[in-house]
Amino acid sequence: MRVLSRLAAAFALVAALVFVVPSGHAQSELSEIGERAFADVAACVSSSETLLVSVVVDQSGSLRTTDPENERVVAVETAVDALTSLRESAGDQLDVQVDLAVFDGSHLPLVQWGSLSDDQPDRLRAAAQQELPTRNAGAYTDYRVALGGAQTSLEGRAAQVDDEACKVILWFTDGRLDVGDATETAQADLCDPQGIADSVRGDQIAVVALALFADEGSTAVSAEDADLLRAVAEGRADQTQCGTTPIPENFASGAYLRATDAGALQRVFAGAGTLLEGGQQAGSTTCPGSECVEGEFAVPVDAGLSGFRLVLDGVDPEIPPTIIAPNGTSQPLGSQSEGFRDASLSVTVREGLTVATVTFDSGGSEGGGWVLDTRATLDSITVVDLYYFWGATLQIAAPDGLVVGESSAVEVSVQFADGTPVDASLYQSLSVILEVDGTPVALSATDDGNLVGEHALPLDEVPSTLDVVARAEAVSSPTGVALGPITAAARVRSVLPPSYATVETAELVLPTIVGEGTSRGVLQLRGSERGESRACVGNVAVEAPELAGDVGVILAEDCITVPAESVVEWPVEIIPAAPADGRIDGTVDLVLSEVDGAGEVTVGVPFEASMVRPINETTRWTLVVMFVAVALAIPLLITLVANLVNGTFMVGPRTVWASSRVRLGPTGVQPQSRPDILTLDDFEGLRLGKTQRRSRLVIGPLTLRRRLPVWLLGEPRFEARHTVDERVLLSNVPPYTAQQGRSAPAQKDLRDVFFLLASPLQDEDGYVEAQLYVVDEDDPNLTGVIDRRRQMLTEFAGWHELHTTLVEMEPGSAGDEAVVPAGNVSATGTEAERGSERPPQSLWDDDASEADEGRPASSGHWDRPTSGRGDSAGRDQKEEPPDRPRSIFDE
Amino acid sequence: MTKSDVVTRRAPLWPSVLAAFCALAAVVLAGLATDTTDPDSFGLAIVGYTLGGVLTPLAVSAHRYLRDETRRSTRYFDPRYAYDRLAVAAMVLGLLAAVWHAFVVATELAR
Repeated sequence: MRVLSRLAAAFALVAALVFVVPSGHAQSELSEIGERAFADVAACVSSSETLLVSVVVDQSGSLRTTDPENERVVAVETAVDALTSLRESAGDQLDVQVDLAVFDGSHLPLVQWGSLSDDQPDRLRAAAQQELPTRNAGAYTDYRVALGGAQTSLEGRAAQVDDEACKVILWFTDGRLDVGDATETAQADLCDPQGIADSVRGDQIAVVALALFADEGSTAVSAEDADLLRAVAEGRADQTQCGTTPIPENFASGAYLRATDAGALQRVFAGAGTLLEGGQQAGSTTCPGSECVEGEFAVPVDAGLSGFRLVLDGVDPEIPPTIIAPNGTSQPLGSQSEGFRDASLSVTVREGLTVATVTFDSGGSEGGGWVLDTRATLDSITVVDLYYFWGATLQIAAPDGLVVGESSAVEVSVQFADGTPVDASLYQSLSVILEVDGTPVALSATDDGNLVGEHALPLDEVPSTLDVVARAEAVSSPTGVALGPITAAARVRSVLPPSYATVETAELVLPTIVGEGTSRGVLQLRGSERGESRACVGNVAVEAPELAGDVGVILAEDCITVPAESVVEWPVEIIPAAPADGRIDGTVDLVLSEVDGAGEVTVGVPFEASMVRPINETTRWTLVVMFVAVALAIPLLITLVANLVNGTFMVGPRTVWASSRVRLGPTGVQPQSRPDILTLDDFEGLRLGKTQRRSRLVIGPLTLRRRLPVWLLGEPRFEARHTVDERVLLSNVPPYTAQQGRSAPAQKDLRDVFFLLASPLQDEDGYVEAQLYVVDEDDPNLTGVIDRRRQMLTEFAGWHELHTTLVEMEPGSAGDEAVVPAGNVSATGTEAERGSERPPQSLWDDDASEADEGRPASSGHWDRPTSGRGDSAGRDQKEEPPDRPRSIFDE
Repeated sequence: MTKSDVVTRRAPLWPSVLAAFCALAAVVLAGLATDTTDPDSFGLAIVGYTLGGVLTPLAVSAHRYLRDETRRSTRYFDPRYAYDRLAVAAMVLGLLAAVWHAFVVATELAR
């Protein structure tokens, strides 16, 4: 019964109902290659214990236009339903595992592998509902990453659970291949021989491409682009080929299904799931219509079918359809539907899509007409897709193998799921085709209902194994439904005559070549029972990825001696010239000599190996960090150097500075005790021999310097600092002062700036006393400098703000805490005005006892050199260069 | 001398334009070098990294240097802050592109 249940679920009957017309917007376009692909999957499922399905869903931005209602969510859920149905129909003998991923420019897994017998369906549905609606903003549609990612996932899972698992990629996309300017490269990567498509097919992975391609509108996909997708799946389309075509027998085929609008997606996914189950598409119709009068759709079921499925789209949930058996019994198509006397009925309802499956007991249907009453009206149209399940399978056997130089028998049997031979009399016709290594073999019936053929293998050049493929088609009776094709494939070893050594290695599967490595394997030969013989290497044919360069295939020795009845190992090494990603295929011809040396036969031994260039993630990210660091360090370094060079004052022999006592008021400055603010006598040169860049200048009590930015990409700033306590330093550069008056902003070009070292205390007129400092170029002469400076002071518009800034720092004002502590004797006469008043303490004041230790005694609070922030004045004087110009503060 | 007689000077435009060109070229190359498995991407990424991570900052530094020199050499300097903004935008863009190119180069080297 286990075989029965699995085969019933896996194999299909093809019926082309001429009375059913295509309708709706789901264009199945299932080609012969697509039919073969599904038949192959069904055949694989019938003989395997595991089916792995990787669902890959497009997440490109075009979905916002093509599928704004997120119909793909329900479509994916429907596919999960179909796969769950497949698992259930197969009983406990088939484990269906599914993962879910999305792709655009990369492949992103959403749900890891899990068996549909567990809670994986719930996880898949939850992920589809929660993730897919928001995943529609990808920039690219890269088929390579979709297939490559799914292939990697499938291979990894197969290695974990079952090496012989059947593998399917259920791949949904709504757009053409789009990788920007790399699209041509991507197409080449996909479709070149030995490319990704060949790699996927060679790994026995069936690709089912489900396309949402509009025919017209802004999202329409051109015929060429649609052809490309079809070719990726099926190998070829109208004008496009992809990979090795025709697809070799030992490669998996693919299928292409298309919907032209999002609303039809659910049906397409349901159809794909049904086809994976082994169902055969029969057609679709719209109810009510000419083929569905008053909503009743006739379903002829001939004898010899194992079941049928109806996919109904647009059903009114309040008025469920009814299915009526040939004996008149009926069942409503609801989730609680019961079965019939000789057939079971299962129904799933999801988002308006009803899927009803009728499965007959062992032996198939006895035949009869079923009726589906859709209850549809012109106001409530239902679209019906019909699929048949045949439930037959092919078995291939070569009891004695294929003997080289002789004719060998190959048997084929067409069986029902329970193992009983198919009764050919149930059908109008039943044809079975058998091919051995591409050569047709004539079949004849045996007494037990099987078919047998004879295949002669010539004694010249033979492969170590031969592909045997059987294919069956039938036409049902009496309605003439075309059934099949169903296929089965087997690889049968060739057997040499006893006077030759035997090649024990049918196919050499070598370990994967990782990076720059090589791959080694061993050929095994068994000596003839009649005596010692020899074997030599003949031709070697290799196909490899282009990047791999020349691939060498080295056998340890050119010829070996094979002793009688003993096994000899012959090491083989594959050496690619360079690392690459892809697959190496080839054949090594072994020339075997007869024991007496009279004859020779050449046996081709296929070999294969995969090549990967693994990415060392540690190295990769280490390098990324290094490169990024270098990328950042270079501009930072350049900027630092530039700042060091640019952040300087250009001074030379003609650079002069001057100071003058002034009174600062809200409207400007006034000279003090003389008519002019600046006179020629105020100027003094810097005494420099040549023009040079200086990052620091000492001008009297002021130190002009640059400040490099903490953020190195920033620009240097310039400032002036003073060493005179009790004073506030101001400049004409906003914000005029900084650091509580200890510094003031400056500019690189000192001709544009002036400084005022002022007392914050106002006199009765609101003026304060200050010392004006300017640095300039004696160009063309000092008189010109004086005129220009006078004009600058006159035109300066920030006097009021500058004055306000200053007086706010006066003790007792809002800026009290910012008052500079008491310090040195000022040459501006403020000492007299203040008398012995003790200046306020600053935050920067040191403890007096410590600060004063070892320092000269001061004459009073105001001239105490250490009463402020350390002995800055004295220290600065010691640090000043010998050529420092004379300051007005000098004794 | 009246105001109309004053001839203002501004920093040269070419460093900023060069920086922007290098940055944009690096961005374009980043768009072309999206496939880390494509050997051609490796070469493009090296060029892109050089443009975005080296030449763009060099051009920006040249802009700043020439701007400051011009400012120093004349009393009538037109700062043209748009040049500065262009240079800064170019540097940010170039560095971002350089990070991507660094990833592509690192990926290929890590194989």
